[in-house]
Amino acid sequence: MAEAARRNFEESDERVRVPATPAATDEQALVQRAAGGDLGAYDELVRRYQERIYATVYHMTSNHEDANDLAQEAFIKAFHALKSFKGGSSFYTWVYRIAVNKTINFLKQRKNRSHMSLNDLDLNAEHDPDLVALISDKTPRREVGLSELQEKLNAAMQKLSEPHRLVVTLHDVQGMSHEEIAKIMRCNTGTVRSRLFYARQQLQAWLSDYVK
Amino acid sequence: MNHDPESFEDLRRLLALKRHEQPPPGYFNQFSREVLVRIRAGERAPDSAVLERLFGEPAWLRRVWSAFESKPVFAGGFGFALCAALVTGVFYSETGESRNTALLPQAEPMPGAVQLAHWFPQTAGVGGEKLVPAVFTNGSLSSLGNQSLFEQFKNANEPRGELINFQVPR
Repeated sequence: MAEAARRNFEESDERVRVPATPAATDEQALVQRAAGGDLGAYDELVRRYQERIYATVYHMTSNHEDANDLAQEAFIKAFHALKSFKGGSSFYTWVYRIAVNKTINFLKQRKNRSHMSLNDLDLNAEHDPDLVALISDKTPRREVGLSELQEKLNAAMQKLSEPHRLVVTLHDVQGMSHEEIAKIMRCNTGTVRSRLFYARQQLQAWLSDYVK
Repeated sequence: MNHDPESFEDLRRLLALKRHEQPPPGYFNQFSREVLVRIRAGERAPDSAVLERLFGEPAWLRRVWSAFESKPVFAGGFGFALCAALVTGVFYSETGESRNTALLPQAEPMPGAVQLAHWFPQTAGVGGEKLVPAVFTNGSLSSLGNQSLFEQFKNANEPRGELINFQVPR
């Protein structure tokens, strides 16, 4: 019964979606040109995915400087490995996987010295209906509430294990589907769903002052 | 345990906050350029790549570095050991030098010097004064005998002048 409820929730949970991956038609051509050493083509590929790759790494590390380094290194590593890219998956999934692996290795090493360096919230945050509804219940001082929430939320995210944090980041923050996440993490969708459920439970417990 | 699907609704709203965390303005305008600059810089330094290919990546160094990063106590211990080794070295050089100096014979002429004096009697000076050939028995060591290792280095680098009297036989 609980499992059924969880599945129903997960299925009705697909509200936020990333825009569809850019057309694979010219992507393949760009990848081939980049593999031949065409940096202009690679520049185009980097521009396509830089924001999503950076965001994933940033949400995993909660540190802008680390995210900058890791995202750049992931693209550099991908460029040097392009010749070995067989095309079994999309370039997008492949480079995501490189970035995620790099980030997880980095997080394992820095375990004892997690230092947050959070990005500022954009101006739209104040007008986000979800956040307005959430904050107006909790605190009358909206601006203070937002930055406080940001800090608490990031601290709670950092308490999650890396696989659980990754699933929450990719699904709840970046809006990826379970299938996409499963491809990136090289696991089945059932594992993704159960990790997501567990991670949400953990977060809910840690953030009980802010969520019902 | 609450399995009510609606129970995560607030959490999902809260997680939406993370989508509003944005890097500094203009950050992504520079991002791809920096990636390409780093790629080009890597291509321009093939020597290091060749060395890496020849000798392999210094995995042991990376492991040590990782251990230092993940466990600062290792780094502290390593630093302490280095300091201890340095202090011990300095202390040993101080005491060891004075002990060695005590063991050295005090300015006794070498047997060879006596033989030289025997073979070159023309070195007798004016007025019957006998000139003994000058024999340097590791003069630098004997002159620095009581100094520490650091003082010896310091003195060795300083220019030294010595007064020498020559007696020319007529």
